[in-house]
Amino acid sequence: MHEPPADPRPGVLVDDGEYSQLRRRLIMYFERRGCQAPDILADECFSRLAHSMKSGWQPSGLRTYMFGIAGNVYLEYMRSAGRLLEELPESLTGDCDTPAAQDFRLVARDVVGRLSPEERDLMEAHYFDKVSWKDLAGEAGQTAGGLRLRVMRLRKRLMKDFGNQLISIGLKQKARVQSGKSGGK
Amino acid sequence: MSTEEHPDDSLLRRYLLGDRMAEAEQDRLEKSYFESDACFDRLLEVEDDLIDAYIRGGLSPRECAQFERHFLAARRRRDRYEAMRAIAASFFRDGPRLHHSLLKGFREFFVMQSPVARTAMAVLASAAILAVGFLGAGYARLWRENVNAHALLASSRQAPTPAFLTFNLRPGLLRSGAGTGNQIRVEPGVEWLVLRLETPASEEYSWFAAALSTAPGEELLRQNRLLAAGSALDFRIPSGVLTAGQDYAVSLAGIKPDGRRTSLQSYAFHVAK
Repeated sequence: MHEPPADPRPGVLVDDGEYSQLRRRLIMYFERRGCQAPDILADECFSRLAHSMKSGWQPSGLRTYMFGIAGNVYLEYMRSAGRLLEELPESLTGDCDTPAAQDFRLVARDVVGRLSPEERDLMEAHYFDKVSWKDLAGEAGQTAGGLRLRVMRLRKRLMKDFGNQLISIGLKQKARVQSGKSGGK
Repeated sequence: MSTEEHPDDSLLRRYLLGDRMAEAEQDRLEKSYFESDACFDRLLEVEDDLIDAYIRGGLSPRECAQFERHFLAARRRRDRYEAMRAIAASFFRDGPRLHHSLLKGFREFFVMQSPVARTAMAVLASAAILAVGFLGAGYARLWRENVNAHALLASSRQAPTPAFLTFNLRPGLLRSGAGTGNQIRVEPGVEWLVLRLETPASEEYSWFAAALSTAPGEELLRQNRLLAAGSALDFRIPSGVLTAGQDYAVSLAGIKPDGRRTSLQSYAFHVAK
């Protein structure tokens, strides 16, 4: 396999948004297959795209083309024996708290502390089933389904705030936590 | 972008949990999320739903095992899981929020108003009370009719079976056969049982782990990372793992913030025939 360059973005992907979209998909693809370093394999795909385009050739459907490249990169990866994660290492399945997990707790407490009392009630109902959805829905004048949708939105917002807060304190997990983005760059 | 129909959530869930799929099916799904932003966004949402369900103990034992073995093997997902777990835990650690009294809030609001506004509010309140009186009489008549209609309907149909049943289990090794212990009865049609376990000094522990075993000691299933709410925690088990007339035990362990695991108590129970 080629060494990934410092910036694997080929010239065709001048649009940062599309580059990031494609990279996230590639990482998801390699994660499903149990690859150990999905971000490096994603970079490898971009390297190959850049290589193919050196001569001026342009793919008609970039995403479909990248999907094809990902398949080839994976097959080559499979030929290198022993790289699949058969089982999670004990240190990951255990319940021990890492220093990062402790930082996570502090950030989480801060983020949750910014919720309004009503939002907090909803999330408590969601996590601990302390309050009946029917009662909450009655108080808020909404349906139980509507409340559940609000919970999903709140959860999304909490995760976004959590990611932003991590950025502000400079934790390296920030990129991966933020809205499911891939890490590595 | 593709305009084809997107894969349904159950397929996306299986994909994320690493379920074995036909090659063509997996290929189709992957092509679909490569080409469609909507499909990929949905996949990310289902990913969060899965993490959420795991944290709340809402996955089946098989899904739990897949989640721990496959899903959490990826570092990105593990970080996301840790973040969501920290958020969920902070709801519990902060303790129940004190609710403001509505009446107190209204009194403070009333006191803050000018005398003219207070008089106007009092007049409006009187009018509202009168209106409520009239409406109340009509409502009472409708309510009586509604009760009669419900009684008629109830007599013509059976009560639905709940999908979940909750049992409170007290610690100890006595089963009902010995007279004072825990006994549960699984009604037909109930899919899940919630075993509510009384827990000791839960502030000491970040998480709990519970294991269900038969009386001879064969472990049937286990759940890690259970959260206690106050002095109890819910251990959800599929009713299918239990057999009527048999004895079982749940053993509980507490996990401290430094990762140390302490064996706590056991909860023996008998499944009534």
